[in-house]
Amino acid sequence: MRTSRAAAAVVLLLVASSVAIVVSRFNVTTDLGVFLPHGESVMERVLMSQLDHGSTSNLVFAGVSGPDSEVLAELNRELSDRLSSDPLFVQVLNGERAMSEADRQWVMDNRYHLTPADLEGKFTVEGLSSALDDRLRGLTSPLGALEKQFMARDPTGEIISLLQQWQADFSAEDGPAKLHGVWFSREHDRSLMMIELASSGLDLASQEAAVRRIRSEFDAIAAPGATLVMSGPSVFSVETRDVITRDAKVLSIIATTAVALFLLAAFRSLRLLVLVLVPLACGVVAATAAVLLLFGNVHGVTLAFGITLTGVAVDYPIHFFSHLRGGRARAEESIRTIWPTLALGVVSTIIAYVVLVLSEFTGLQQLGLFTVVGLLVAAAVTRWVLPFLVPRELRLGRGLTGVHALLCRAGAVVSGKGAWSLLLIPLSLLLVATSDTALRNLDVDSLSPIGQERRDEDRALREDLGFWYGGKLAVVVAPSAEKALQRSEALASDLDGLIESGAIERYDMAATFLPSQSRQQRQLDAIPPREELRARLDAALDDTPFRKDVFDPFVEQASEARESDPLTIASLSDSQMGERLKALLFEEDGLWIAPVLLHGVEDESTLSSLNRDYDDGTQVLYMNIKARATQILAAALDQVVPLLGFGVLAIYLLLAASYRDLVRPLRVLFPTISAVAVTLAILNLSGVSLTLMHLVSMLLIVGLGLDYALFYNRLSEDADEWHTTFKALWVSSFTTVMVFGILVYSNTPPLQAIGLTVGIGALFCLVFGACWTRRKPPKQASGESARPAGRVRLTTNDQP
Amino acid sequence: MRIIRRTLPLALALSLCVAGVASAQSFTFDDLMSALAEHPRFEADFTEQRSSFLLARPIELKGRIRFDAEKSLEKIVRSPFEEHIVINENEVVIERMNSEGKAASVQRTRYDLSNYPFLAKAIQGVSNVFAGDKRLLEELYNRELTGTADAWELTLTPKGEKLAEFIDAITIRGSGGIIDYIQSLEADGDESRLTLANRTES
Repeated sequence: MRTSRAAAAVVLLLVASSVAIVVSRFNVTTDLGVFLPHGESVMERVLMSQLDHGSTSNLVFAGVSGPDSEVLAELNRELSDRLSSDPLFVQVLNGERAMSEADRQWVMDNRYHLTPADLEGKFTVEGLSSALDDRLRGLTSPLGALEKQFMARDPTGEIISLLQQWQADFSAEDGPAKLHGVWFSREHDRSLMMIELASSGLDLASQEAAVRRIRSEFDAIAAPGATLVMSGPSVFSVETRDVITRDAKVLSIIATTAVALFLLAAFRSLRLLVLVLVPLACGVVAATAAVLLLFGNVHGVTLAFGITLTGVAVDYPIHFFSHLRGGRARAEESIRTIWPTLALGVVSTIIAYVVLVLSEFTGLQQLGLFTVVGLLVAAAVTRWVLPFLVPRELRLGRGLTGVHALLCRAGAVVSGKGAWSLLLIPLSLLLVATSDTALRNLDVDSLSPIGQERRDEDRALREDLGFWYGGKLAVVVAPSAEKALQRSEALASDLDGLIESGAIERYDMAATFLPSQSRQQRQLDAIPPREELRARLDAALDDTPFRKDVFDPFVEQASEARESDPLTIASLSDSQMGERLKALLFEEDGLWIAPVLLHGVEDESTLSSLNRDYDDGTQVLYMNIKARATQILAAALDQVVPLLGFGVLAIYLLLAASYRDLVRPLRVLFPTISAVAVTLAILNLSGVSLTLMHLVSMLLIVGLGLDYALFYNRLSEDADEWHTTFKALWVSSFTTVMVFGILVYSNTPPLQAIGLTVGIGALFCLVFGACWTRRKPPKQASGESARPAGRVRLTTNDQP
Repeated sequence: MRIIRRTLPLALALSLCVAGVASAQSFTFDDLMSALAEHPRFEADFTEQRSSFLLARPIELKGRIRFDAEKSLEKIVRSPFEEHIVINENEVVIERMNSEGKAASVQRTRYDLSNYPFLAKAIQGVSNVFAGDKRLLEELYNRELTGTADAWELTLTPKGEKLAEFIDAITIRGSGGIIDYIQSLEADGDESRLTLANRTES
């Protein structure tokens, strides 16, 4: 008893420190990217960084719809004004705002470094002459006032073309439709804006604050009938978390209540009910602490899911109490009798979850760790702590006797039919193999609670805003920023060809905004020395109405530019432009990555011809984010399957060693495998393709099945003992079906998947387990025959 | 009688004065606007003299102007170069005809002026006068109207500083609802004198 006390103390200490860790470090994330594998190659790293916190993660796309377009424009302007002055937002673009004054000045000052035009041609006498002709036309056009601002210093017209290129991302031709001075959808039914949040995609709390602020500012000014639609990664993150949190709250309350009522009905003891939850609660706290320690945060899905998976631990005390013979005095003895079976169940279940820890998905690793720790601690609490909590006298009633009798009769029918149930395995697999429903669902979006409708809305807003969507891009990877820019420039001519042939509509790349240093140098070298430039200009000015001295500032500034150094990415870092450029050119693990965003991709097949490794150490990769994610997901899933095979083998070996028998473990494994196979067939026949979450759920079925089968194997000749064990079994199984059945009503697809799968699986585990029992329910004296368990003779009186 | 003889010329002079004032008052800015609004669509040949601080000598443009109050103001330049300019609200589209040798090419550029609202207003000024857009002109300019219904002169000077960055004054001369001369004086001293002739209504 002394050693047990010591053990209890150790377990309690563990639980107490877990509470401390959870309280001090609690940090929930909801980024569903962690349920995607992290790849090894450069391409996969880029892919993941695009998905997780890519170039668009802090953008919100917003649309104001309503009956009157003038009101919509007015609301748009007012909302933009309010948000622009708020530190939560970097900038609001709605079509009426120009570049910042500093950025304009910077572009003007560096026009010869930045211009897309070919300066060599422009600085010949013919080039200058044709430029002067353009300026004369410009001067007399309605835009004369605009032209005159820059004419004296920039007769070749670089400033105007650069401002067109930089201003708000859109050139006049490709930009969104405009009405009453602000952006509108093509149908003119909603005014549009693009809001850049100050927080990064990783800081969910401030993203949430920003999204709510947009909403509340709009509500403050909204006219009747006007509505605000928002989309974008940060909006979706916030929505996802809301759904998951709400689900987790509501469903856990419902599930807990239902289970509590059921247990109360089955055992008629409030005290027992409380005691049953002790190991689970301890397990969950310890598991959360372990995940926080190892990962720094716990994902919302891990938490919701993990608690559900750890929920199996409710069975441990149920088994214990069912077998409890006598009050606290005999608790230690009772737990010792079932401990070998219980421990075997726990260890074999844990083997199944170790597979998750070995997977490539951060989310699944968390989930695996959570469940392993949760189950271990719950079992330890049941073994070493619970015996001390048992009251001197435990009065267990015998509730639900009718149900018990019914199940006993049903059990008698199927008992010994194990061999027949084996036939269901090949039958199920055959059905799945021949069915029209795809076995696996590799759609990355299927993990997210964001519905198709919202996704379509997002797409429509992006399309109207001329923003990149569709996840198709070419990635330039290079050892330096300069090489990345040079490669992008070379790529640009290929892409221009693709635009000609109609394969793509247009593209965005960093090199458009910041040319490589070598290109800049070439351009600057094309400017002739001062005297030469003056001579060429004078020749060009002959026969024009222009005054000869008007362009002195041009000669001055161009000569100065000739002597200056090329711009580097560092010289941009402080400007708004630099912020924008960061999404298009960044360094990751020593490699420079320049995504080239492709718009309006019509013909994907020609794009893979861009893929190439170049001699200068640069690389171009065409990528379709969604297709690539699907591939990675498929590869990762395929990797999980052999791991599962090894898991089953490991469990078999463990059982064989424990039973010292090679055949008996099969009696434990077969019902479990049958249950998994039949569940698979039922899901498939009802048109459900398996996602990652279904696969995880299969693991849970394995865990449950093993647990049940092990206890089925303990069914003894003793009638009391038999009924006790059997009741513990079906009560556990019903609680499981109940908890998971409730999950089917969840709005989070992963939770829904798991609910459906495990609900069906748990029921079949109970049925197939019964098939493999050798013994029919022992006959009892008539009248007693329907008396179920709870036959815990703790009390002097048998009747409650 | 002496009184009559003495007072008659005075009375006559007075009545003439009153009549004169009355006739000047009878053609108001409002009248001009409604007269102009009666001609929402017309075409006319134009000759434009442009002088600029950038130019050693003024240049002369010739071509045709086409106005439709519902749609846009078009300016088709025929000499010294060929250009087709369409002015809409917040937008200017310029088609430039380049004749290099025999092959003529057309280069079309659309300029979005939403980022330059006051430039857009300045450019729209003439269209606003053509359309007789009373509300806009009253909002943006101080107006001075002289002459008679048959020979009036309207001078517009910007009310706000922003618009004054582009325009010093616009002077328009015409008769009834027909405009035949527009002079724009820009803030930097540049000047455009536009004469309209051969007008047709559609």
